[in-house]
Parts: sequence; C-alpha cells; structure tokens
Amino acid sequence: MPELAIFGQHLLNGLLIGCAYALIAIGLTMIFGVMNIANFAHGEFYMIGAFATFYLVSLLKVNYFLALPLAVVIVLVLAIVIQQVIFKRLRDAPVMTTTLVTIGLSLLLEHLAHLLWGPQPQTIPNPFPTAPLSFAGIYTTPLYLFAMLVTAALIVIGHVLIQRTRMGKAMRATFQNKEAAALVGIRIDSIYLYAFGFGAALAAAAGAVLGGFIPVEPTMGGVATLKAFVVVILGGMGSFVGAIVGGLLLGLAEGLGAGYMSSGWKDAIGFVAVILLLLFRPDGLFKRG
Amino acid sequence: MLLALFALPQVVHNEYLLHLCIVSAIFVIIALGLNLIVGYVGQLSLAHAAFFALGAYVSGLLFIKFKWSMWIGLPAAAVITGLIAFALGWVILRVRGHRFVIITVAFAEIMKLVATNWIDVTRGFMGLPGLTIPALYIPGIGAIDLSSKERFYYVALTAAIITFWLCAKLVGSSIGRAFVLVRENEVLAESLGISAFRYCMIAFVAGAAMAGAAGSLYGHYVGFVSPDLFNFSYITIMLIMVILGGKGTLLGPVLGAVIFTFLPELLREASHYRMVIFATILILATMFMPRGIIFPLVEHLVPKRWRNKP
Amino acid sequence: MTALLEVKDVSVRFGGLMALKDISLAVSAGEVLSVIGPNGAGKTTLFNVITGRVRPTTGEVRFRGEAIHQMPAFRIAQMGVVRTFQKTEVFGVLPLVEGVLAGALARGDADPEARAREALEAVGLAAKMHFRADQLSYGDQRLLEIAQALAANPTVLLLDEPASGMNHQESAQIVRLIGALRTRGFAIVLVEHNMHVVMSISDRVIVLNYGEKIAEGSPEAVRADRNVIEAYLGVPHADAPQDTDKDTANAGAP
Repeated sequence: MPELAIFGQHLLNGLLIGCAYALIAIGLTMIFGVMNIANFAHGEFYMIGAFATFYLVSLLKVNYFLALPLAVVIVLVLAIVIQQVIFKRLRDAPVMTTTLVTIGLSLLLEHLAHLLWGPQPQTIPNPFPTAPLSFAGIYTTPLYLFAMLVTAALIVIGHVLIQRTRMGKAMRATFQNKEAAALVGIRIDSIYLYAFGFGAALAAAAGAVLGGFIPVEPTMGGVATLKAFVVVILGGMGSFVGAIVGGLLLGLAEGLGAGYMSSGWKDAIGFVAVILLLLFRPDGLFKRG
Repeated sequence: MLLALFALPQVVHNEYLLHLCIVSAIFVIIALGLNLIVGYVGQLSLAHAAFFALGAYVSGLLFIKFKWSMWIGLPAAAVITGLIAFALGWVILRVRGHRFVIITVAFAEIMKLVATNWIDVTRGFMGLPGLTIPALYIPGIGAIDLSSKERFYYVALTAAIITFWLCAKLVGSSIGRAFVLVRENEVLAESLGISAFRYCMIAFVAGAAMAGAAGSLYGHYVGFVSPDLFNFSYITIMLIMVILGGKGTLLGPVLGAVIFTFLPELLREASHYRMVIFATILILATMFMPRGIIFPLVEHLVPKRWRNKP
Repeated sequence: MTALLEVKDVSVRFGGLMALKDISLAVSAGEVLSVIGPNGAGKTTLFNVITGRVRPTTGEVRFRGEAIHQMPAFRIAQMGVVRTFQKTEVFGVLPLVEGVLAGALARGDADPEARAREALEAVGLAAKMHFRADQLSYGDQRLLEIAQALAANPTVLLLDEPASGMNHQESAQIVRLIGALRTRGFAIVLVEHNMHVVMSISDRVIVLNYGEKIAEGSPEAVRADRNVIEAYLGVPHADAPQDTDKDTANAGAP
C-alpha cells in the first residue's frame, strides 16, 4: 500500500536524523550532568567534524573511511584545548558565567569557520554508489544505510562506555554527588576532560557522517545545538537514556512532520514540545542518571 | 549632561552620525530592559531580542492593518509584549538556571518560525514595509513633522531618558533591593520570605515591555519589519552591550549600548572578523571581568548617585 | 499551652530511601527543642519539610493550627517560620545591613533598615554593619545568619547547627543568644551536634536515628537512654553523648 510505504519512508528519513540527534544530545547531556554546563557551542563540534572530514577527503585526498575517525580526533584535540584553557578555570562558576562563555565560544567558532572556509555549502565526497536501493516501496541509499549503521553503533558504544568502564562509572558518580566523588578519590579534572572530550567526539562523529548528504556550512552548528537542547530537555537533563530516546523520537517526529506538514513548521515541533513538557512534567520524561 | 544630549542635533549635522545616535538611543532602551533580568535578578534570558522583534511586528501590524500611527503602536507594542512575557514567564520562570535559558531560546525560535511561516498575517519574508514615523499634533500649533533624523532623534532620546528614569525608580525601590537579594542568594532569599518567582517575573515583564517599545521605535524608524529581526545576532549584541557595559548597574548598559552601536560601524568592513573579536572579548570579559569592561574605566568620572552597587 | 508548630506523623520518601518515618513533634513559644542524632538521621530533611523545601510523603505540618506543608517556602517564611542553614548562607558581596533587611523587606515592613539594625544588635554585630558579608569571620557569619532570620520577624526559629565549627567561647555566646531569644518568646527548634550546647540550653530533646524518633524527653533523660547511646556508638559505651566540652562539631558514629 502506497500510504504505508510513504509513512515508512518518512519514518526512515527521520530515523537517521534521530540517531544524529541522539549522538549529539548524549554528549550535551553528559557535559551538563558532569560539568553542570549548558554547552551552547556543542553544535560547533558537529560542524567542525563535518568540515574536517570534508577537507580531509576533498583536499588531502584521505580515504573516506579513514577521514571519519581522523576528523573526530581533530575535534577531540580542539575540545581538549578548550577544556584545559577555559572550562578548567570555570569549574565552580555560576550558571550565567559558563553559559555566556559557551555562547561566546559558539560565536567565535562559527565566525572563524566563516573566515576559514567561507559560507559556501559543501558536501563530503564519498565512495558509495549513488543508486538508490528500495524495499517495500521505501527508498534509501547505501550512504544512508552506512550512516545509520555508524551512528547506531556509536550510540551503543557510548552506552557501553558509560555503563561498563571505570571512567564511565566515575562520571556517573560525579553526576550524583560531586563532593562525595572528590572525597572518594575521583579526580574531577580528569572526569571533566573525559566528559567534554567524549561529548565533542560524538558530536563530531555525527557531523562527519551526516556531511555526506546534508550541506556542510558554518551555520549548521547553531541549528544542531538548538535541537540537541530540545532533546536534552525532553529526555531530562543528565539522562543518557533520555537523550537517546528523545533524539530518536524527535527525529521520527520531524521526519513525519516534514512529510505531512509544510517543512517550515517541522522545526517548531521540538520547541513546542519543550514548552508543553515544562507545563506538565518539569523534570523531563526520565529521571537524571 | 542632559543639555548636551539635547543640543546634539544642533551641532551634529552629519546624517550618518545622527543615525547612529538614534540607533544607540533605541538600544539603550533594550539594554536597560535586558539588564533588569540579567543584571539585577540574575537570570540569563535569550528571549529579549524576540520581544524586541515582537514589538516591531505588533506596531507594524497595527500600522498596516489599521493605519494606527506609532503613537498608538508604541504603547501597544509595550503592553502586548509585556503580556506575552507575562504568560511565558508564568510557565517558565518556575524553573530557573539552565533550563530557563534554553526555554527562552526555544521561545525565540518559535517566534521566528511564526514570523516566517504565518504568511497570512506576517507576510513571511516579504515583511511589513512602508512603516512611517508619525507627526506630532500639538493643539494650537498643528502637526510637527518628525521624520527627519534631527527630529526623530529627539523622540528616541526622550524615550531613552524616560526608560532610564523608570529603571532608576524601580531599582531604587524595595523591588530593586529584592532583585539584588534574589540574585545574590536565591535559596536564602526564599527562606527569608522573598518570592524569587515574583521578582523574576517583574523584571522579565518590565524588561520585555521595554524591548517591545524599542522594537516599535526601530520598526517605524527603519520603515520595514521582517523576520530578520529574529536573527541570533541581535541577542548577541544585546548581551555584549549589557555584559561588557556592566550588568547590574544603571549606567553600564547605557554606555554599552552607545559604544557597541558605534564600535561595529568602525569595524564595518570585516563583519566576521568583528564577530570573532567581539566573541573573544565576551569570553574573556565574562571569565575575568565580571563588572564589564567599560564601567570600571569610566567609574571615577561618574557622580555617585547614578551608580548602583553591582 | 497549645503548640505553635506541630509536625504530625510526617514521613518523607526519596525514591527508595525513607528519610523520615512517622515523625511527630511540637514546640511552643518560649521553648527550646533540640533535635539530635547521628549524621544522616534526617535532621536537615526535617527542617526542609517544615520550611517547605521538601514535601512530606505523608503527614502534615501545622503552624498556629494551619496546615503549611504544601505552601511554597517563601510563604511559610513570611508567616513566621524561619530557618538558618547547615552550610552558611549569606548574601555574598552585600554589606551586612543590605542582606539582613531581606526578611523585613519580604514582609513589607515600612523601614526594613531599622529592622536590620535591630537584628544585628541582637546578635552583637551592629558595629560591623557596613562590612561585606563575605568579609566576616566564620563565627560572625553564623551570627549573621541568625540576624537574617530575626529580621524576618519570625515566631518560630529553626537553627541548623548554629554552633558548628565554633570554639568554646563562640559556642557559649550562641548559648547565651539562644537563651535571650527564648526569653523574648521565640519558639526555637535546634539541630546540633555540640552536646554542650544541647545540654545547656534545651528544654526538651528529640533523638532521630535513620529517620525515626528513638527518644524524646528532658536532656538528662535522653542522655541516659540506652537506645540513644546505642544509636550513636553501636554499643553501650562510656563515651555516650555527654556534657563534655567539644571543640569540633561532629559527635556521631557513621
């Protein structure tokens, strides 16, 4: 039935964007939970990840599959520098201070990107055949499937890292109670570094992978940040599960929305959902943790 | 000081400079309003620019649909924006801190989407053109045309001075003292009987109304209202004016507004360079100079009664 | 004498943890009720419930007969139930008098500065009126907290470890202050670890352990109570809560 196929198509379109949202939101919620910072510059890591991949592949002729992790590493280094130079000093600073700094950082990175790379949207060249695949009336491309695979895998890896490794557990302990964690011997500065770097890396990965079919340009970070915040609020600030579920839900909702409503309004879905949520469930859909 | 301000157009005839003075005056109103919520009560609202744009739209729509002049449009813009801020604040000021900041961003984005997509009312990207500056009718003298830059400067200046006076009154009252107590230690203030929600609302609504009024002035002055007014660059410059000018003082935002209206014009050529520099200054100032940059520099020149303890 | 403040069968559950279980108490004007117990017994949670920062899962809190446990915190303070905090809370960079007037301002007092000055005099900080709060010594800041509470014109004062971290002289000063406040008619609930202070000033003592009330009575009766001794130390021991000078605040075993 064509209706079902169309429905499925919209869902599929939304699924990838949902995974990307989830990836970016995981990092954002982690940075918020561990460092108590609302990182308005988070989308910029996503943007730089995409640009780095683009330049690695198109200018330096690096193999696509190598360029992806390489771009993430580049962003990781940048994030480490930012953390050590800026946020380390702001460890116990008030909300207004850290938020203003991240806003400033976001502007700085975005406009630097303009200066360095120009406003022209780019697309990352990739080695996948462009012929669309279809099943049951739903169309997709090999690149799309690859991107879905990578983002889904990263989400799972992220989840495992947080739940199983020592670092992950230490991070979660810091979430709950910073003073107690410090007393027990957890080195807060290391945790901060880990959380910030990890979050930035995930966002960069999302950008690297999505840059193959969405336009890569300096302003893409701003939109990503906004959407990520919507997801984080919907899922509960500090909740990993919330970020994953919230990201997927938002992606799917937008996919359906873009399909059935005029595309201008689809962006409003998330924002309206946030305000509605605040009216009825101020703590988010999930509890912190 | 006031005399000098009023005498200005007699001395300065350069149209471009007058234009900057007018825009500065409008941004003084905006900055003073933003300062109430950011500097006095201590909540970071990123919705301020949206209120500014809303005011412009309200005034513009009243002009286009009903031919009501700015004399009605301006107070209407202030009141309607204030009411919207009241409704929004009622819902979102119950959560303060990070979530509040993000919700204000969400609100601003929704407003932008509405302005862009509700084409029947707002004409989307085509905007509302043809707004004019009204004449002033004085019984016995007739109509005084205010559309020249010299004349409109007086309008903007008067509005700015009234706004400053209102802020001074508010800040000097017990409400103003309560603002500061909420900012310094919200939990403690609540435990002593001060409702943080109530005072945040007062600051939020008052600030929004000021932004709305400024929006009306701006819309009629520029003659055109479009969704571009919702761009993120506006809130950025507003924040820079308040933070670098000196938040939590009365004179800080005024200085910030003036300086950061003139300064970008000097660096006009390099728009992205300019933003990079501003962004860097914003980061450094926030980290190392909580009292702003301008205010400490000018401090010893200013008479004590204009100052509030930051 | 009818009680000014009553806590009736209050229980507080946080997730899986029962912070308070069926707690009842009452305090009247001109009375000092001390709440003691090992760390984690729920004493601060009790204060949080009374002042509206935490809602009880069951039970109620009544002030002058009126149920206040669902009211917002600031309203409860305006009604006359005011607290201090375990971790010192002052208005950072403000001069003392600006911060202390907060309570008077909240009640719409015509001359909040006068109330602030009176409160500062009552605790002995009048001379430092124009100092900044964050420039005071620790001991003075604890006194400042009491002045802040006094300016709010309370009927019931909830003092959370006012003598913590104080030396012998400073805690003696606190004891004198609390006595003076009792004479003026305040109902005072005191959470303290410093047993010297508790024994000197309390009219009655309640002991909490793991969120439950395990003893109540006069200071002497409670001191000798076997349950209390066991709760503090796990075994009956000669170092039970006694009338000894303590230089440090914490007395309880984990």
